[in-house]
Amino acid sequence: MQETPFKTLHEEHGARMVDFAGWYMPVQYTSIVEEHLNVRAHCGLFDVSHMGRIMLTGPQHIAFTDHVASNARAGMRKKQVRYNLICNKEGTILDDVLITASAGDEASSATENEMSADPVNALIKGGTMIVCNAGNHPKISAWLKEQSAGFDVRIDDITESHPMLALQGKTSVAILQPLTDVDLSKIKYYRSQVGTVCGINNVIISRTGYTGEDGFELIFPKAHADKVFNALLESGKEHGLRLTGLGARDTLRLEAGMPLYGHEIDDRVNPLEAGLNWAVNLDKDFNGKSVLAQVAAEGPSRTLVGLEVDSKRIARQHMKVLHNGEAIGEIASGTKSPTLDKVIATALIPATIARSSESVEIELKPGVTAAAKIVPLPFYKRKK
Amino acid sequence: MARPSDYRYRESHEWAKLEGDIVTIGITDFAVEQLNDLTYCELPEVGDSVTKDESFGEIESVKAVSDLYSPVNGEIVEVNSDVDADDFAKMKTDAFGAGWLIKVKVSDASDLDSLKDLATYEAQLADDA
Repeated sequence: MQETPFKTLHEEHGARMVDFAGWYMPVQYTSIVEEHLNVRAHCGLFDVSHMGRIMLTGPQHIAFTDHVASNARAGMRKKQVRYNLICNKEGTILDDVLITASAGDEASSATENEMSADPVNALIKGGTMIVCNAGNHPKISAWLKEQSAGFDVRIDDITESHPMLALQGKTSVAILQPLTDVDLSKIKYYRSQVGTVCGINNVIISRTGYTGEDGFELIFPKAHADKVFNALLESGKEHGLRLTGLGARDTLRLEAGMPLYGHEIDDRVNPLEAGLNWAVNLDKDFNGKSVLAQVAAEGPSRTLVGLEVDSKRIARQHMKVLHNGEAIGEIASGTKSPTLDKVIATALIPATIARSSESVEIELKPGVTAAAKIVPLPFYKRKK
Repeated sequence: MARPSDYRYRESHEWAKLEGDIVTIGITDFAVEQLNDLTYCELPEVGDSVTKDESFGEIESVKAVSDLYSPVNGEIVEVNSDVDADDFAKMKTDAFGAGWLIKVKVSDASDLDSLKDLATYEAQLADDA
């Protein structure tokens, strides 16, 4: 298994560690439900170093990004972050990613010397950052390399050299501000800034996250791992900060209606049926565009729906979804929502049924079904 | 939590306590801690029979569902009403006492002989760790 620079710290803090996508990661420290509720009430600190972080530079980094991903790269504001989908030529999803534009002009790129000196220069001088899922990192790395043929683009993988921490919750600004000279009030949601944190220069600060709360994701060189981790915990003491594991990360994102690769989306699902049409720009050419243009014209045959399940048992991935006794799909994700105190789930079902029905049934186990009300996503939205 | 030395233990973390011809069955503190975020428990009803080494119910946490295995043959005479109503507080604080799950009237108490004693169960926990 691969280890993040925070492995010893997790163990010292009593984390229950698991193999997640080949990485040795904390699933919980105390209780998934407690950690989840604490993120909604105060703030959680997550090690998300297992995710892939890739820098693109060179004269055609923008054109290359627009070729491999469905959402527009050209025309992004400086330092803007966009949710995006790397699709294959059949229009199905290879991974969902966050793409960050640099602070430089669109035509500019960090030079090879600048990248060798510090790969964060991609976001200072010119370039594009892609953050992808841990489980898809090898696949995406290989795909980007293959697709780069014919593009003048340089690919630098900084996953191993630059860990990532996520600070998520309403007290995240109060916790991070004392540690940085960057005015956090100037970083809007889904914008980024390179600045000094804990005295470390060129830290990438991104106002993004996977919980539905306000928060920041920090990327910095691994030599400073302990320093930043401990500084955040210390600053967070009076603001209810708690270490939070991948178990709560999953229940938080599900409440917030965010997809998880391998559940709501995978390489048999296209963005339009997963409700991600807002991340697809059909005005440009990209891998899978012609297939998706067709799907858009005809309307997707399936829709991703939210379900509130009338049951005490949790509806879990792969359980059958039934309509009038007929199997029409499977649960993509399910849990007992700590915030809403009900069993919630998602499923891809025929669009016609999603439009015309109020409820479906879930087969919890052979012979045992529960009714589920179709509800719009997300299940939870933070108050602004 | 000190584990009772006069209880018998199944390798699947159920415990059994014999009093006369009634066996009280629960799950150990180790199992409760491993399951952690308990959400639901399905138990049988008074009058149902249980079969040695077969599942008598299920306990569910956020992460997964686990079967509960009976160490004995017999008939259910009492079910813990708190647990039945998904109140798991006593299981967390008193897994070997107030956190019991079912009481079974047994016809053959020697069913318990094949279970582990405390030392053997704790050795298993140490081995698995």
